[in-house]
Amino acid sequence: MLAAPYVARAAQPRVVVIGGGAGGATAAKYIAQKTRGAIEVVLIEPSKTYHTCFFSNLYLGGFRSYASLNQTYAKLASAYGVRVVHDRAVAVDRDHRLVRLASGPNLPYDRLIVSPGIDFVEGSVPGLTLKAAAARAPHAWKAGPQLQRLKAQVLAMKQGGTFVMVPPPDASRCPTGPYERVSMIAHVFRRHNPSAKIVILDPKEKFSKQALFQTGWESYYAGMIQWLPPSITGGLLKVDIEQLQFTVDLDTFKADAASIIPAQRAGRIAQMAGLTDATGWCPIVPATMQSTIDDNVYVIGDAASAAAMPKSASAANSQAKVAARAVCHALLQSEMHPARFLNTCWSLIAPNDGVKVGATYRAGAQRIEPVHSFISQNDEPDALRKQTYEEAIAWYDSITADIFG
Amino acid sequence: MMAYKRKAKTNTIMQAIAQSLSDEEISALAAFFGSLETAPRKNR
Repeated sequence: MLAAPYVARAAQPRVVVIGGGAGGATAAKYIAQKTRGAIEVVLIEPSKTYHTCFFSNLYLGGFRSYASLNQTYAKLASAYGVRVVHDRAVAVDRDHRLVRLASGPNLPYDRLIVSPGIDFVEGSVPGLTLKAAAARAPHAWKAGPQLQRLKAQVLAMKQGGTFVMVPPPDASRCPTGPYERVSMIAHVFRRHNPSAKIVILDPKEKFSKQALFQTGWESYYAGMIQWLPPSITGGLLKVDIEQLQFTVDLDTFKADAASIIPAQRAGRIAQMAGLTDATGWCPIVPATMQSTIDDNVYVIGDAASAAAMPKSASAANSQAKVAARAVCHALLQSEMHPARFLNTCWSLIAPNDGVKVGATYRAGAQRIEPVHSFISQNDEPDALRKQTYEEAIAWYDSITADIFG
Repeated sequence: MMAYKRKAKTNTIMQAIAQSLSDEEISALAAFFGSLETAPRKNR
C-alpha cells in the first residue's frame, strides 16, 4: 500500500520525510498537526527506536540510563496521523519525484524533506578504516550500541591507563560534544580510576566553550586531562588501531582505551540524491530550508549547510519548523512568516555544573545569520550552574516531547 | 516577554528570544496564548 494511487495523490498532496531524528520527526509532526490531513505525511525511518545523541554523554557519565535516551514514533502515528514507514530510503529520483525504498517500492512525493543526519568520511584518520575504528575506538556519534561499547571500555580500562580522544575536524555534529564527553569520562575516572589520564589529540586549534571547559577541567579533574592541538603535536599522522598507538609529528601515545570521531559529511542518501556540494553538506535557501539544487526538496538538520548554526538537535528542530511552514505554504498556500531560528547547546562539566551556548538566527539572503547570542560565563556562581543543568534536563523533556510526542 | 526583552528577567535564552521579537509580535503572541481556551495537554 505504499504506492498510493495517482488520483489520491492529486487530491491530497504528499510530503515524504527521510530520516526520523530531531529534524525529520519534528517536520513530519508539525506538517501533519497543522494541516490535519490536508497533506499526507510519510516518515521513512529504518529504526523503531531512536536513541538520542543529545544527552548520550550523560549516560557515559552515569547521569542518565541508556533506556532514558530511547524515543519511539508511536505518537507521531496515533496522535497526528503521520504514516511512519520503517524502511530505508536507498535512492531519490528527483526528476520523477520518487523515493525508492530498500524493500522495493517507489514512493511518489510532492515535496521531499531530507533529514538524514551525518555520514563519516572514510580515510579521514590516517591509517584507519571506519569499521576497524568503530570496534576498538568507538565514535558513538550516533548513540546506540557504540555508546554502550564505549562506556564498557571506559569502565574496563586498567588502573592508571590512558584514554585517547580524537575529536572530529569542523564541520561536525555537536561541536561541544567531544569535550563534554571528556568531562563525563573524567568524572567516571575520578571515582573509579583516579590515576587515569585523558589525552585529547585535537585536529582543531580551538573549540566551542573552550574557556568554560578548560576552567572546569582544572578545578574538577586537575592533572588528568591534556588537550593537544595540532600546533603542539604537529598533527595526527598515523593510528595503529590494534595497539591503540597514536603517532603525531613529535610523539607517540599508547592508549588503553580510545574514542575516535571521524570527519563528517551529509548522510549518504543526501549525497546519492545529488543534494550535496563540494563541502559534503547540502546548500539551502535560508528563508525556507529548500535545497538550492531542487525547489521541491528541503534539507534540514546536520546535513544542511546552515552557516553559523551548529549541527545540533536544537538547531534541527528549529529548522524543521521553518521547513514545515514553507512546505505548507508551497502546497496549501498557508500563511508564511519570516524564518526565525533558535539553537541552544548544553554541556555538563561535572555534577550540577551545566553550561550553555546559543543564539537566535534569521534568514539572510545568502545564509542564516545570528541575531542575539548567549553563553555561560566563567565566573558564574555555583547556583547558576546548577540551574543551567536543571534547565538542560527540562529542555530534554520538552524537546523530545516537541519532536516525538 | 517584555520583561525578558528589557532584561528585567534574567534567563539568557528567553532574553535572546524576546529580543528577536518586535513589540507587535510579542503582543500578537500574548493575544494568541490568551485566546486558548484550555491549558495545553500534558505530553507525558
